Amino acid sequence: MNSLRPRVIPCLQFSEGELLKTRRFKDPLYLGDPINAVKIFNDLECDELVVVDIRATLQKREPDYSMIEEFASEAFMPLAYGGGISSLEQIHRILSIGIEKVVISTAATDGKLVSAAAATFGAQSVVVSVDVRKTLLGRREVWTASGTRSTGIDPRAYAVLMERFGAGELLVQSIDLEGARGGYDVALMNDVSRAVRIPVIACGGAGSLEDIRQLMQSSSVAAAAAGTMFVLHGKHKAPLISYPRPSEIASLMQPHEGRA
Amino acid sequence: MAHSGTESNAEVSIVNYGIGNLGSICNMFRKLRIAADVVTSPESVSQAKRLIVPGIGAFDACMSALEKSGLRGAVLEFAAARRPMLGICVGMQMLTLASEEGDMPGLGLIRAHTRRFPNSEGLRIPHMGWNTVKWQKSDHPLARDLSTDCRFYFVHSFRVICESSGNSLASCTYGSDFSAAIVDGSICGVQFHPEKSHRFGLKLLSNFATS
Repeated sequence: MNSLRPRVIPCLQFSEGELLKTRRFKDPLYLGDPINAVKIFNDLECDELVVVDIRATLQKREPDYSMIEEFASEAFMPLAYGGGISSLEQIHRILSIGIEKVVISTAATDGKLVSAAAATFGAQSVVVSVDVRKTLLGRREVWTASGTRSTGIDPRAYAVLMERFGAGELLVQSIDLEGARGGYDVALMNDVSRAVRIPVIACGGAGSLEDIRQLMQSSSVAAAAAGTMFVLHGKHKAPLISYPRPSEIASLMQPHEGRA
Repeated sequence: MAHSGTESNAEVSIVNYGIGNLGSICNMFRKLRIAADVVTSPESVSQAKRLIVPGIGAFDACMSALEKSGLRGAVLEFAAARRPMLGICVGMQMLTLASEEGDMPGLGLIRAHTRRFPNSEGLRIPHMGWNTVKWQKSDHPLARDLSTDCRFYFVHSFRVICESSGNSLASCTYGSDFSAAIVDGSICGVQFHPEKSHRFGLKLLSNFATS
C-alpha cells in the first residue's frame, strides 16, 4: 500500500463556551455544548478532530485553556486546536495539555512563529490554516484574521512558503464555500496539494460523503475536513452530530460505489 | 498526577525528559482508571513499576534531551533489570541501535535499526494517519484481545527494521513492510500512538499496565 486511506476530520467551531457553525465565516449559528460534541465524536471513533475558537484572534483573547483541557480529556484521537495562537509559550501550554497539533493562521504570515514552533515541537505539531477567498475577478487570495484581512497572496505560493517555513500540514479552507454544502473547491485543493509535499487537509463545502469521495478521487489531498455536514442535519439545519462508519470511509477510494 | 514522589503507587510511570506529549498519555490512563505518574528524576525512574518512554520530533533531539535530563542511565538500568518498558513513536526508535535520521546512537536495547522509508513513487512522508497492523506474536500480552483488524494512528518519517524477525511484534505496510511494534523480553516499543488510537490504544495501554 503506497497511500493510506484518507482521513475524515470533523472541524468544530466554538467561542466562549458555545459550539457554533458559520457560513462563509459569518452568521454563527449556536449549536450547543462543544465539550459534548467532542465527546460524541470520540464515541463515534472519528479519525481526528479540529477545534477552532473563531473569535479568539479578533477579540485579542488568549486561548481558552480550561476549555481546551476539557476537549483533550474527552478525545482519544489526534486533536488539533486553532484560534488566537501567537506565541511559542501558548503552543507549549496547549501541547502539554494533550493536544497534538496547533493550527496557526493570522500569526503564520511572517513565518517566524511557524519556523520556531516546528523547530521546537516538530513539524508534525504545526498546521497552518490557509483560508482562501475568490476576488470579484475570480483570483484566489489567502485571507487571515478569521477572513477579515487579505494577504493578497495566491494560495499555491502561500502554501509553498508555509512548507518552507516548516509547517507540517496545511488546512486549506475555501471561505466562499464554507457552510454551503455544495462540494469542495476541488481545483483549489488539487492545485495546493500538488504544489507541496506536506499533507493537505481540505475544508469548506462538504455536504455529503459523495462530495468527499469526489474530492479524494480527483485530488491528492491527505484528508477531508467538514463542519456543517457533521453537525447539522437537513434543510432546517437541526443540530445533529454524525460521522461515517469505518466501512464507509474505506469505500471512499473506490470509484462510483453506491451511485445510481 | 504529575508528582514524582518516592511513595508513588503508580502502575505506570512516564519518563519526562522534556519531549513528547505526556498530557495525552496521562489522559488515557485517567480514562482507564489506572494510576500513572510523570517521572523526572533518576530515583523515580528506578522506582517505577513500569516505564513509558515517549518521543516525538527528531531522533537526535530526543536522544540529547534524554542525555541532558540525566535520566538516560536510569532508563538503561531499568531495562537491564528486565522490568517492563514501552517506547512510543520516537520513544520506540530510541530503543534501537541507531537511526538514519540522526548521528547519535540509540539506546541499543533491541537489535533493530531506524531507517528511511524507501524512496518509492507516490509515497508521502510522513506516514500520517490510521493503519492496520499484523501481530506476529499474537499471544504476547501486549496484543491481548487486539484482533488483526484493529487500527492505530501513526505519524512518523522513519521506520524500524529488526535484525531478527523474532524481535518484531507487529508489522505494518506503507510502501513496504516495517515493524509497528518491537519486543525483547520485557522491553517493547510501538511506532503508532496508542494514546491517540481510540479503544484499540486504550486496550494496548491497559495490556501494558497489567502485563
